[in-house]
Amino acid sequence: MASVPKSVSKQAEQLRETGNVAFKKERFGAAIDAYTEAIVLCPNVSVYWTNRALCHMKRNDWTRVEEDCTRAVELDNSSVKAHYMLGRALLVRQDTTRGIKELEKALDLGRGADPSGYMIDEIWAVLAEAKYKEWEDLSDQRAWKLQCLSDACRQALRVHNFLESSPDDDESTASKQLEYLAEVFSKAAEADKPTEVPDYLCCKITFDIFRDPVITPCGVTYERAVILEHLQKVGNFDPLTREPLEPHQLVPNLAIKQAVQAFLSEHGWAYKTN
Amino acid sequence: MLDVSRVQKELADCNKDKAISGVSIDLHGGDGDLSHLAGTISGPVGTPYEGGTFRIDVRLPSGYPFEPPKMQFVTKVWHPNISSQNGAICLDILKDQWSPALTLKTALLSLQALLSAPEPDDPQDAVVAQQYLRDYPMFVATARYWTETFAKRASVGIEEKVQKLVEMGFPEALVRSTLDSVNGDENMALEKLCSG
Repeated sequence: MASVPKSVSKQAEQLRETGNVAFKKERFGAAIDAYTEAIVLCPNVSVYWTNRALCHMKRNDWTRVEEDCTRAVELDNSSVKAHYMLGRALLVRQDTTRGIKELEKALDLGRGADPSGYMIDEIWAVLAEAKYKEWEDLSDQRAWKLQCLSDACRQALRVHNFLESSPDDDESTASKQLEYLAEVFSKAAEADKPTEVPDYLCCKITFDIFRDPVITPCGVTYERAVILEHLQKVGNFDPLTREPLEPHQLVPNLAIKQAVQAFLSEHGWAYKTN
Repeated sequence: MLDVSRVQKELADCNKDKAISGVSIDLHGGDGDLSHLAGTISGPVGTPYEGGTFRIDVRLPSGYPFEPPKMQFVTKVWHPNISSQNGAICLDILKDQWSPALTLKTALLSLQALLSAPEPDDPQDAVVAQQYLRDYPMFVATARYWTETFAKRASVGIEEKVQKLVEMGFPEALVRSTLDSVNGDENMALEKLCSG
């Protein structure tokens, strides 16, 4: 990197400016050309790659988005935008597992940089949608498997009872067994049945499952972005207890965050957004 | 921007136990506008408001839940903290004591509590407050009369009004929803039906 002369890097910066202007006018082809020239001059600047990737994204050219973002991440592993766009590109070509991983990385990085930034909401929305879809696919598979197994067991039990039956046997024993079998299988399917997220995993202001929970000195937990908005717009007090509260007193509630993650990994339907 | 997801959850949550809580809330119109709602509270037992159903007009500002909901009685009510003229409410949590941890349901429950426990020292309607302090039995009698007259009217005789308007040639479903939206006032309903 040090080998690039100052005049060259300055020229590349100017090309980036040109690209930015073109991008704002939605002339993506021109912007791509400018960023490409900048990349040729200074191939080690991650921002040139992410900027070009954004143009490709606007044109739905996801293969190129993936290429550029992969390079950008190699250059700067802490780029929120690179991880975010890479995640989306991977989702487009159905690589859900890796896509989700990139989006989670983007979310973590983004929160550290600016906890109430606009990108966080966007990243979360894409991530939640992907997670929900993943759950839908997996739960469909699980439901199908359970159904097959349930049918097979039912059949086997009927055959067994038919072969083993003796005159002393009570008719109702067989039907009770079948009833119990149905009960066992319906219990097994329960985890995949959407119900309600428990209150203790929901913010008292958003009524939604926690994403980035913080706790106040009073011991009440809120969604970070929302409690910050409250402190800014309504006043410096804890919404529930009305005790004085300053932004710097908010502390991440890691236990609740883990509880949310555990809940979501068991109940993927809770990712559903309106 | 209005937190649509929260308002939807609030509506579902509030109406889940409305038979027990005595408060409910619905959309005001059929156009799905979540910023204009219609609340109802049943008059608390053992008060002059017992047996009445009070309708509240609820408007959510775009800053909700960081700004309080705007609430106003549609049903006329005789109470020191509620204007007998326009239904304006004097209640701290609807003003400077609002907190985003409060909800539409808790606000309606607070209104219900206000009906049980008037605060004549911080009045909205000076005339009512004067009467409350100087001639309490007269206050109770007036409040009860208003409850009988205005808060029970909507359900009494509604079928007759429906029939009358239907005979004029309006569709029944529309007649019912219009009557409902003007709290059973036959003349206002007719005006609305003709203009609509």
